[in-house]
Amino acid sequence: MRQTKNLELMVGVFVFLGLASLVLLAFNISNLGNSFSSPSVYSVKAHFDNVGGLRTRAKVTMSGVNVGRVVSVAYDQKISRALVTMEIQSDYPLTTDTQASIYTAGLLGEQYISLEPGAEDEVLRDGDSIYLSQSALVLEEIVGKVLVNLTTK
Amino acid sequence: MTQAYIEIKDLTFARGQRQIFDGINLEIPQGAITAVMGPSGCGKTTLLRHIGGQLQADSGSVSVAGVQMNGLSRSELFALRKQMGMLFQSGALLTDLNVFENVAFPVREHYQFDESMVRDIVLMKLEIVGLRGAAQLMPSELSGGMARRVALARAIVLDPALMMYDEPFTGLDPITLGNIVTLIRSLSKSLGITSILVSHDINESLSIADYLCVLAEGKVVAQGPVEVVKATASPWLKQFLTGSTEGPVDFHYPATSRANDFHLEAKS
Amino acid sequence: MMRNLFERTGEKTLGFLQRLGRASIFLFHVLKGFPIVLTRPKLLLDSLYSVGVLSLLIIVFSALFVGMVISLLGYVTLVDFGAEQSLGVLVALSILRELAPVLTALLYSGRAGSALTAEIGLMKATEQLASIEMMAIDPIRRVITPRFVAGIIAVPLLTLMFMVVGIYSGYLIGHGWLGVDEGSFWAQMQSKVQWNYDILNGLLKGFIFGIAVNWIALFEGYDAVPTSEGVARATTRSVVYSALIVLALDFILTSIMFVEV
Repeated sequence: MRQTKNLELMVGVFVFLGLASLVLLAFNISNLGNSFSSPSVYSVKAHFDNVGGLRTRAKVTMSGVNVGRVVSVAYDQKISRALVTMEIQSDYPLTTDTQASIYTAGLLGEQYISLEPGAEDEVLRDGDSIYLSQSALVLEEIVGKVLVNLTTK
Repeated sequence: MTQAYIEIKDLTFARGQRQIFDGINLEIPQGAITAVMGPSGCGKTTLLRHIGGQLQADSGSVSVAGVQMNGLSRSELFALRKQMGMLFQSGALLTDLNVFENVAFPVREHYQFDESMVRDIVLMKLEIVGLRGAAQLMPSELSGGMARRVALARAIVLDPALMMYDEPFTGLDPITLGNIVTLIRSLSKSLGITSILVSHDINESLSIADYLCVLAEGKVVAQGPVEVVKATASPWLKQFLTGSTEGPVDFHYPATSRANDFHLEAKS
Repeated sequence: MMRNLFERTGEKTLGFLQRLGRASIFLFHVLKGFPIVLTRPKLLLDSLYSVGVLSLLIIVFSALFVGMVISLLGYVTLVDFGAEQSLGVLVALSILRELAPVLTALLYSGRAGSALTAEIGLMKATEQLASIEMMAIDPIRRVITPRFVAGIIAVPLLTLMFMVVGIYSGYLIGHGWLGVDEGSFWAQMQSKVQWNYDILNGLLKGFIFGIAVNWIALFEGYDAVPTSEGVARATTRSVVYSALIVLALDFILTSIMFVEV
């Protein structure tokens, strides 16, 4: 009987360790802890001529601070431009004349969206669009322009 | 002959290319000990498996206590098996349980008795085989003879109407052998259990069997009360029953001529 | 000669399909017995002890070393690009998505899977399964089902422990030895690792591997030729097939889960 008790205890500890690992993973290692502390977000859209290598789940920053995430990157047939939807944490209100730019982290890093607030008093609400946007820099385009400049001189 | 408990009619069974049974007809009378004998590999154990419903006949029928084994549903088969006990050659004790729990195993699986009742039943059966004192040992601590006695206690713990013994005499020392022989006889005589004994130990089997059935090459060679079979035995059967090397069965496996194998061409 | 080759290929294929069929029926039968673990939790508990608790040590130690190695190698690569701040991300993602589920499954099959095959195979060889059946008890339900359920609970739990131990040991090396900044190690990891994408997918992998490994181990034991040689071969087969199936499944799952084409 004593042996049985021991066995039950060990199995209990085993299952507890497994579940404790799950909790630790959720709150210490992943972003679940963050999203629990500020669960509310609102979404804004922006059109770009060229999104370059921007992917879903890319980060959205303001002055280098992470304020949100890209939710979807799609092509808008109506105006023939790329449509990017992002989720911004409710703690960061954005003015209606905010500018969205696509930058690259480091020389070879991944691309992200940087927001620069403007001077208006009104703020964007859920589902609104940012109308000031700057496309991603595509290396080939720059090289092409430089070459054109060089040859036409 | 008393009423038949088991009836086997025209049983055929093949395993792969090998025809094991080729039309067997057999009756096992109720309340008596029937010894099923025959040379090694003649399908004695296979016969037990048919009676226990672990194998299905290719054709023919097996009926136990008036119930046809073919086409039984699983639950019907299990209900029938509750009335059967089987003693396996190896004992087949569950290695992770001690002696007490091994004997208690079928009881606990089938009934929701309280602990004191299980204890009484188990110790009673262990007492019958003389191993009440060994209740707390693990199977690995038992000798071969003790393991077989524990297995016997487990086989009779649900008070079966039919007991099947698969080679119960193999590999035992003379004293344990005597014990097992006595146990099988007393279980059959005092409790009226129908017993089937599969063995090729002729002397021990014949000393307790009431009926005898001899299988060879997929057929029943002889069956009936022991004395009758003995009296009417064919030369082959006489050789088998006496264990003599002289007789129709040659010591040598069929081979080409000796002269050929040993290169003994006659020198001319 | 040619004909012989085709014949043998056909024979092998048929044999394989036959085994697959038997294995499927076996699994169906095992799952049908599921209620027994609810009515008799003691059976599940015993099995959880032998497959879970007894595998804990090897999983924890392996995770410890794997985390340290990934941290070292990752640092050496990242420091060339001046990106050693991303070490936490690299360690966490490689462990969560790939190493924890795969290595846990492989180690489990070596530690617990082979033991299950040998145990069931020996029970068959020593006629224990046949004797249980003769006692009017379904051996699959009574013997196999609790072990299977315990196995598919244990593997995901072990995977979770592998994840945590691996990441923390990676942190120990990264911060304690290589001197990566503690703050950026964790902050970058937390911003990049996604709960529902990386962790749950890794866990799902572990769960699927758990089903595969336990199914193979128990079926090989149950289907073993009932001799000591047969059981030995079945045990070897159990580990080899488990490894192959886990790696093949891993490729398929990774391409579904983590690759956007």
